[in-house]
Order: sequence, then structure tokens, then C-alpha cells
Amino acid sequence: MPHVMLSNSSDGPVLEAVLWISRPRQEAMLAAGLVLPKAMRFRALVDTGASCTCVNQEVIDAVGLIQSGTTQIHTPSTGNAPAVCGVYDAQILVPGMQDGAVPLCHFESLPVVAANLSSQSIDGLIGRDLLAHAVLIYHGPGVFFSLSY
Amino acid sequence: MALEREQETYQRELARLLAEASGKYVLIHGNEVAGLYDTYQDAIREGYLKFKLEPFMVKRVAVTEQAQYITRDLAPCRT
Repeated sequence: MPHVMLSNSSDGPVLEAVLWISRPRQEAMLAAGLVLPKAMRFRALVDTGASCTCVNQEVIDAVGLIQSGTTQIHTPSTGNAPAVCGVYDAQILVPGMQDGAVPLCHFESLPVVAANLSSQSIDGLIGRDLLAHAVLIYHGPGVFFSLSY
Repeated sequence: MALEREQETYQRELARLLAEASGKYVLIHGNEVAGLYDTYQDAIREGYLKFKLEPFMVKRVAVTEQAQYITRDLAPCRT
């Protein structure tokens, strides 16, 4: 089972993931003779309190993701009226051990929600939609976490 | 708001979609319901095959939209 084991940072269980346009969009762009935008690494908190994976709008714009819908989001400050956020079609890869040569996990097309986390020193949240495929161990005394797919 | 026309189409067609395909993923392009699929990935793949790089929307058909929950605060983003 591929896995990573990383130290807990002051922000919690944080890893570097890679965001890119989805595989179907890549194929459509290549068929149209267009140059693919570059993938971008982003700093993501593994967050069991998030039902969906979120990425900062700035990162989404920099990668050139395209909106595929909207969704309603409840947060501690939204009260009874959820906020409406954009959903973007994306590709996410989490590098594995061995200098990231082997990916831990690779999702070729999945919905990610645009969020604004820029004041929180992270670029995104790995939510339970991605953790549904994983085994997550948070080791407090050892100050590390591991993620297996 | 992005995909405004597609959102209007979804609302206009919702009663019929619920009767035919509750729980499936609908692919909408402009005023047209272009297909119903079992997964988000199938709908996205078909969207790019049919409409290339033109905008389209994929949404799960449901009586009430399934909201997402995040225990950390987020600032609102544009839609």
C-alpha cells in the first residue's frame, strides 16, 4: 500500500500536493492544439473536518482550472444560510516517498471547491472526499502522520 | 456568476430530472440537458468529448442540494 509519513507542522498534518487541469480537459486542449498550463504545487492541510477538498481561488486561477458548477458550503460563520462557492474540475496528485517519484495517489478528474484560506498559511484542504480512499494515522506523541492509499 | 444559463436550465428541468434520474449527474450545456451519468467523472469526460472547450456544467440531481461542511472558516469566493 503506497504511503507517506510526514512530521506534523505547527499548522497540523500538512503535505504538498500538485494541482492541474483534469485529464479530460488536457485531452481536449491538446486536440485543439493548445499549450497546457503548468501544474502547481500547493500546501494542503489534511482535514477530516472538511467534507470536500478545497483550494485557494488564487491557486485555481493560476493553474487555469475551469468552473464546472457551484456548491453550498456551511462553515462556522455562515449560520443558517450556506455560502455558495464555485466548483472546479481538477486533477490532484499527492507525491509519495522516494523523492515523490511514485505518486501516493492520483485523481485524474475530481471536483474541488474554491475557497479563500490565504490568511491561514495553507493553500487548501484535503477533505473527506479524498480521504475516503485512504488510511490516515495521526500520531500526536510521535509528532507525525501517515497517509496510505 | 459563471454558468448562469446552465444553472437556469437545471432549475427549469429539475422536476423532470428528479423523476427520471435522482442521484445521477446531469451534464448541461447552455439551455440543453446533454446527458445523465452515474459518476461525476463520466459526466466530465462526456462534456469534453461533446463540447470540447466550451463551458458546461455538471451537477448531481437532488431535491435539495447536498451542502458541504467545513469546520474551519473560509472567506467567500466568487461564483
